[in-house]
Amino acid sequence: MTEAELIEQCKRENRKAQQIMYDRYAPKMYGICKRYVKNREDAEDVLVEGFYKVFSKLRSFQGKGSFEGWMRRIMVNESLMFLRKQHNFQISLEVSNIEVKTEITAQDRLEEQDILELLKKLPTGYRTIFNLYVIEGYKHREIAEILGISINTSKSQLILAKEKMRKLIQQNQYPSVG
Amino acid sequence: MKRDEDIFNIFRKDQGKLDEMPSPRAWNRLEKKLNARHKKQRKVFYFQALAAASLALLLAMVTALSFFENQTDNHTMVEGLPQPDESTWTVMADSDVAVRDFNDPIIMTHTEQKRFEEEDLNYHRLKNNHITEENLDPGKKLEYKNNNIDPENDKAFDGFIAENYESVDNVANLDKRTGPVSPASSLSKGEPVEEELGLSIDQAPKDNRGLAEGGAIADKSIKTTTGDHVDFRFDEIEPVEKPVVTEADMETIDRKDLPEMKVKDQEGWAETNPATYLSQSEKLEKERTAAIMDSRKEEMIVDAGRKATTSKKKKPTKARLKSPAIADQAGFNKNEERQELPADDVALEEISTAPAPASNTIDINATYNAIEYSALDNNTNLQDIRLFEWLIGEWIDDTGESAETWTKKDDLTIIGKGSFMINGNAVFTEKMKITKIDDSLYFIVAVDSSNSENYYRLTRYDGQEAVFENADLAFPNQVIIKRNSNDDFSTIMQNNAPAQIQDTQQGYLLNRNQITNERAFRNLKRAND
Repeated sequence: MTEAELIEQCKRENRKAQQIMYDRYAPKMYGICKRYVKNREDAEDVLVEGFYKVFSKLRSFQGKGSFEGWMRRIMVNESLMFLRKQHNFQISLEVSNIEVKTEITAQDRLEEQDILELLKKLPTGYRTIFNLYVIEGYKHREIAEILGISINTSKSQLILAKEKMRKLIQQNQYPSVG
Repeated sequence: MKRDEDIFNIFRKDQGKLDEMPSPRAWNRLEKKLNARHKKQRKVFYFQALAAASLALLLAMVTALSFFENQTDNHTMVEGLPQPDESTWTVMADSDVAVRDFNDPIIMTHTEQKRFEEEDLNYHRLKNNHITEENLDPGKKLEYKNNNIDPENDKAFDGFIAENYESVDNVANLDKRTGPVSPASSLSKGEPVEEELGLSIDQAPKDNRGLAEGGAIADKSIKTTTGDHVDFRFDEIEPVEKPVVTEADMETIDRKDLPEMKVKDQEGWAETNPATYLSQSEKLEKERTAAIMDSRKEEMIVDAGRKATTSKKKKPTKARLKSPAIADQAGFNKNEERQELPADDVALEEISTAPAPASNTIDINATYNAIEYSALDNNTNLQDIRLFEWLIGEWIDDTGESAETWTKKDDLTIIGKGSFMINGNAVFTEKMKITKIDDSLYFIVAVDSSNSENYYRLTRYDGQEAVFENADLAFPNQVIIKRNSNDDFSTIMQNNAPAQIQDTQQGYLLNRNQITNERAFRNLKRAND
């Protein structure tokens, strides 16, 4: 079943089609949620809410862009909504209270667990801006808009996030990072 | 910068490593949410469908109403029909509604007239504007005129009335014509005029004759096919005022003759026909007593016939509050100064102060009331409210929590108000009444927070202990007012057969100041002592 057919069936609330779509996109969307939300259970909650919105709002998807991109934005928004309930992004400078030694293997590429561990070590504000900027590709202006902060805050948070991340990686002797 | 890009690239390259299928629990939760949404959507759909259907129905009704209203607005009024010589009858309408019906214009639009020629629809409408049994009553009158009436056939109208109404009595106020009389052909049942007036209920016009003919339908005039004009004139006459029975009037009326009615007096008591509160056993007892009384009255009359010439009626001088017998039994009034009674009560006093007669004998000199009292033997005076006048005053218990105030309302009734106080605040109030209904005294009690009133009839009174009973009540079916001394009495609520107080009853009974498993007491002392 092509993506277009699947979307059409999902618009008709065909439960089987919805399950196929879920199976197809859930892993990737869950990965996104995990980047933003530290706890796996919370990430799963965000995922469920995100998919519920996807299926509920599917009629509003016009098919003009990438369906995966549309779905990804929903997941990111849902993650941010979750974070907003617990975190005030307007506080420009955060200090991480947790300085746990990160175990990163000396490989060319980070393993899943390493990435998650590194992200977990970042304070929420750093991590969110880091994800939005590095992974989602948003500009500082967009990030400022999304999070309701100033552009300078977004920039400073990203700098601090990078510094934090560098230290963490150096501590774990990741070779490509100097 | 290079290093920054390196870090960013590491994460960009490796972002797919976080992809992972969530636990099956996530899909189950999502499916539940989707199912719930589906149900909600269906509910919304049904609600919307219902709302749409309701709206459509409402619109249809509004449209129909406006259609009929427009028809009314566009009616053709034909006024000023000729008024030749008249015969006039006056029929009394029986209600305001009837008069309104009469006064409603009899109207037809041209469309209606056409339809009338095809159907009978308007005939029915006209029929409703005419004389029916409901339309006859005092207060209003309908004047019926027929200007083409044969003076020789006045009986026709009577016949018409008699044939069209179940009872001519219903139109007893028929004020016969004052002018020429109608022709038989116009007024006999089944004849055209009669049909067209709608007076003959069962006979709708089968042909095109009738009220629509020529459009001669007017507010109060009808032109028949024969060219006759039949006019109605409606006049209001002074309404007959219904008699208002005041409480004072009621006291002069034998209560048993009062119809079933409920009015509230100043204390909020419903004056109710007591017969409805009598249990079956009480009713039988009343009938039996009445039979005894009747037989004794007959005996008295016979005795009176025998002794009339030799008996002397005592000249009444002073009447006493209580008979010696009662006072002796009670033991409280022996030394009290006796009060004078009105002359009406003299006979009562005479019989009770007379030398003690043999049981069941009749004092020929006594009046009817006294004979009645005397014949009741042991329960003599059980209908005399003065037996309880000692209650009048304020009473309070030792703790100050319970209190009662009794006042005399009139010669038939004393009224009590009871209260139960906690920290000076009345948490419970009740109203009580001892009153004469028919030939018995009743203790009536009602909790202020309740509309129900319990009636207990006085069945025994030995001067100290008055027993009121109502066998129809589950509990308590017996209320005893016990006079312990001049300044001390108890109210006891219990069943005449041993019965445990149910939990549901305790809420009320606990407001008495003593309660056991089987009865509740309230012991009170005169407050001013």
